[in-house]
Amino acid sequence: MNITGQNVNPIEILLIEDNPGDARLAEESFKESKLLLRINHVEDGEQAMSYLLRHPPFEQATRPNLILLDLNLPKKDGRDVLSEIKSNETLKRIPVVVLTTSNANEDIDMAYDLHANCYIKKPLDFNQFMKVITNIEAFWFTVVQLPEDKCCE
Amino acid sequence: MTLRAKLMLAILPLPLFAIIGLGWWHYNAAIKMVNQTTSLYLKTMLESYVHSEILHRYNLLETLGATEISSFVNQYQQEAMKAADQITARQEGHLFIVSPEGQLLHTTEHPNSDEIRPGFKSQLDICATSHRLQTLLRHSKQEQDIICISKQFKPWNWIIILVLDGQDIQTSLSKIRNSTLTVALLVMAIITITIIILIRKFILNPVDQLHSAATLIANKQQIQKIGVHSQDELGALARNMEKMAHEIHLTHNRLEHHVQIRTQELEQKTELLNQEIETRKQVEARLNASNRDLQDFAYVASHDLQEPLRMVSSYLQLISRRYQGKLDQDANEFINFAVDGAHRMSAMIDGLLQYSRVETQGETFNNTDMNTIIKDVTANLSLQIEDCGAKIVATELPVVYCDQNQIFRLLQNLLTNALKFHGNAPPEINITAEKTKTGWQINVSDNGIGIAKKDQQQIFTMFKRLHGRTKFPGSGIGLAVCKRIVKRHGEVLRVESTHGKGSRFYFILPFKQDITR
Repeated sequence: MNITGQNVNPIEILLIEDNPGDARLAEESFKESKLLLRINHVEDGEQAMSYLLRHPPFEQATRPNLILLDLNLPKKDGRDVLSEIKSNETLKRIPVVVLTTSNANEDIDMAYDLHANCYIKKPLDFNQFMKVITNIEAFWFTVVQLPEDKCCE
Repeated sequence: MTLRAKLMLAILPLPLFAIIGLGWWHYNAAIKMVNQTTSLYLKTMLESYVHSEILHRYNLLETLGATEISSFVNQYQQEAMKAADQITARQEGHLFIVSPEGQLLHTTEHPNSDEIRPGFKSQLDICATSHRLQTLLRHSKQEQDIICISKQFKPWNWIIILVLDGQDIQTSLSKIRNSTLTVALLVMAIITITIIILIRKFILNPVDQLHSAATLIANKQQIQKIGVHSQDELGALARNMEKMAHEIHLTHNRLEHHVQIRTQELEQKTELLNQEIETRKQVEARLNASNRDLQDFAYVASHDLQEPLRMVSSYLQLISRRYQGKLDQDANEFINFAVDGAHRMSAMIDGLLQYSRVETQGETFNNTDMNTIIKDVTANLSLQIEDCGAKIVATELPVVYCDQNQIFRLLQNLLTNALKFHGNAPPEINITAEKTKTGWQINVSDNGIGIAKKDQQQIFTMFKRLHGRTKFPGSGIGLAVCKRIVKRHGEVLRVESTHGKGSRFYFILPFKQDITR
């Protein structure tokens, strides 16, 4: 799928983030994007897996083009979510960007060991944060070639 | 070989040789006596025959003057021969009368026959030639064992031979020999048995008793009396052994007592030691738990404390962005102060995390080439070095035993400071190494602003800053981390500085180690 602004289908982003402040910041940042994006926000790991596997109440959920994953989540931890996504045959091709406050080495190592596509520390500065979001958009939706989603629609 | 066998071997030959010698002497004396007796008997018999029967008749013939009248002579000679027969009938031995030519004239041996075996005839010839006593032993069947003596009677040309059967003498001699041997053996047996009994009673039995007593002592058993009461050396030995056994028993008891006391002491000490070990283990466990807690705390601090800070600064910035133009100058300034505060606090939290991880997440030590580390650090800081036109000179540096990552961070912090705190002149930084007793001393000296004497200890304190934020920005954590890294390597980070004339930071790192694991 060649994703451009003219495309009728919006680009689906699944934002897995328990902190409403952070979620809102991400949403606000994406608002300034020129691309047609749809942000789907879930607040914990269990919801995230239900959404991805279309378990109730997410029967109508669409397959995301990109997942933004925080590591520290209630109910089911971000690490478990990452490992489940990457070991699921239908989900493992979806790029997962780990976006978290931690810059601890063990977290970074763990994330890449579980096949995260990239690891980004949330910048303290809002302008930096904006820049990160813009870079994510630019990189994953215009630079990178992603596999076509044949499997799930 | 037992003592008994040795004693027997030493003593028994003595009686044996004595008895053999005595027997031999007795036997020889007996033979000599038999020979003398026989010789005397034969001589007497021959002399008496010749004198009384032959000479007497010849004298009679002489008186008659009939020595030349052969009929008279023959008659007298016949009478002498008959007398010989009568003598031999009464006494042992036989008489032979031969002519000097060897012709046998008369014999008492074979009264009915004149025939004599040729072998015996030659033996008789030997007897006839010499008139001494002779003992002739048989060499062939025709000969016999004989003892003979002869005498010539010239007027009649007679040689008279007296022969005694040697067989009888031999028999009697062997009888003497046998009886001597029997007596000798008997005497030897009696003497031997006596010696054995005496040796047993006076030597072997006491020695046996001493031996069994010594065995008992050797087996650590107690003995009361050995049972040897004689007044000789063995008795003295026995009494001394009794004394010795008593002493050994006493010493053994004392020793046992001592050992018991020592064992008890040792057990008590072991018990104390075990308690101590147990206590230490508990302390260690508590320490480990506390270290884990600290690590957890550091992680929580880095993650959870940062989150609200980010909220504060991000949303303040979002406000200033969204309401651009609607806020006055003051509002923007206040927002900036608040954001700056949040940033600084975030940096401090990061610093704390770094500081705590020097101990908890240090890596194992390895032999590391300091030249490589300096190369990496300068490459890392190349931007800053270029910006301020700094000159960094490092002499040939040694290989040291250290945590590579931490020494990298230590030098990076020191060089960053040296680059940062420079005066008007572009920074010049020298890195040298010198060998000391305990390790390699690394010196990092600069030509920067220096540190006043009174401030030199404060710079290593966490969050301590000597300068205004605008002039020299920083979190105040770098040197505290440096100090802690050097401390982990067993040494102290020191500074030598004159205000306005630069500083020298120096520390000691361990020598290269032989790693043959």
